Amino acid sequence: MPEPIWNSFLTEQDRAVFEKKGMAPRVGFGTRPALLVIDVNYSFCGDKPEPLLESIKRWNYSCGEDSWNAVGAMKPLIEKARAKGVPVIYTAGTRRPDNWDSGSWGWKNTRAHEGVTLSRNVDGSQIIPDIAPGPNDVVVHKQKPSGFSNSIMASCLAAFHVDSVIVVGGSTSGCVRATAVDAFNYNYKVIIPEECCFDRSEASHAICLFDLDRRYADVVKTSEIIDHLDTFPDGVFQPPASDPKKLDGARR
Amino acid sequence: MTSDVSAPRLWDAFLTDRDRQVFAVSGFGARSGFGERPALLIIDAVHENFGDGPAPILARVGELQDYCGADGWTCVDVIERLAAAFRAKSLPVVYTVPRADADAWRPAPQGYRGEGEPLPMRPEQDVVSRLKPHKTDIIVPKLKPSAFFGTNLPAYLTFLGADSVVVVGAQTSDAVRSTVNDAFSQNYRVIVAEDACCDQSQASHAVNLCDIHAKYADVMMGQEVLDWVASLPEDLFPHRPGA
Repeated sequence: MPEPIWNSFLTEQDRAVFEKKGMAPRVGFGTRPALLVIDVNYSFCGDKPEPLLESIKRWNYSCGEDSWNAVGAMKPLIEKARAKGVPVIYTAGTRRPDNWDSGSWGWKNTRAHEGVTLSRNVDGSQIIPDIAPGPNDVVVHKQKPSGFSNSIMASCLAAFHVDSVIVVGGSTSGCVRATAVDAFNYNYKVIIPEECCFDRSEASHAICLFDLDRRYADVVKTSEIIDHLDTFPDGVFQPPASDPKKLDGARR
Repeated sequence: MTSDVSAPRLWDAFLTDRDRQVFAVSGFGARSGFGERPALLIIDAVHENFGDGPAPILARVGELQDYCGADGWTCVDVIERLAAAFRAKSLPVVYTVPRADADAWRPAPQGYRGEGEPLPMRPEQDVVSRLKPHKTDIIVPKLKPSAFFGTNLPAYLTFLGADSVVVVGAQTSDAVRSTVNDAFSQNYRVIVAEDACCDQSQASHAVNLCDIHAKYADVMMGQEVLDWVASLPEDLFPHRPGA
């Protein structure tokens, strides 16, 4: 088995401590997963694949090439989920045009206003077209890092009778981590495909995956999830239909 | 507020060269600034994380699974001073403690721990004796990492009229970070006292402080917080317990 991505960032003492503690128990896959695609938009990826230090000149939140590689990795996973009827839920930031509701976001970043003041070739909040939401997918709007923070996420997962979430997107240390920890708070099983997450900081990416894996989630390879979804019968997780006639009797 | 991104920080050694270049230009890590009405949040200062005294982490981690080692006790010293300073100014001091429900029905992703067995509050969940809460302090029991999740804390902060929180305790990458994240999401200004937080992992401690300082809070030494608290008036919180 290859070394986990975080090993090279740990200290000698860390390695000794966690060797002594042993690996955290595995969460395991649930039986009714949803796929959460967190903030995969131009703002976090830049408007095209280019080296991070280039991209970040024009896109202050960009995670550069790593984000586009992650888009490539998550595309087959999204397609597999759709093919199996597994709900695909995107998060997207939402903001008043005058940015009044940005609240605390304005406090820690000297370039936070650029989304409002710079005129850009594409809308930063637009989800990357390569993996754009399909007709049966859901887009959850949010204002803070976690996809659950004052959003319809929790009620959405309840409506789908979900018991587990697969979390992909960016940034690993920002919205992905906050969403994964909240999913843990709400007692969902959390699975994180490593190659489908991205961050502008390599150390933050690695250590956040370490923290998530030891406390809240299983960090796995994307292929493992695709193989697992392949064992599901087609359509068994079909989300509740929007046609009221197709809803079950109790809910009409 | 300006940010001095060139000042040396605890996490520098853990970053890659690219990370350092990115942080230098990305605009992250600006000073958020102090609020005017702070509450101190002492997160999980319990036996589970600290044991009953300083010892090498490797000597005890086998029997005390979440032990943070001698680092934890440096942090206890700073927490003790901060709590005393907050109380001296009649500012609210809030403790979180991990809670097990009376019947131990405690859902966790790995299964339902202690299902069916009555499980009293474990001694590991006690606040360490040096930091025992005073009568005027506020205790918030919680089941999950964040002090805000499923607790009365948001309502208490509204009632107190707090506009900011100073977060200290354990562990940096778990309950401290989750609490910071949620405080940020609720538009509180957040200060984290770096030497008053600890973690079992040195790398997680450093890199989580880096993330927190980049995006969510001002990370500074406890002494800087003490100097600021000393400058505050004493009559800010008429709704504090004991006021």
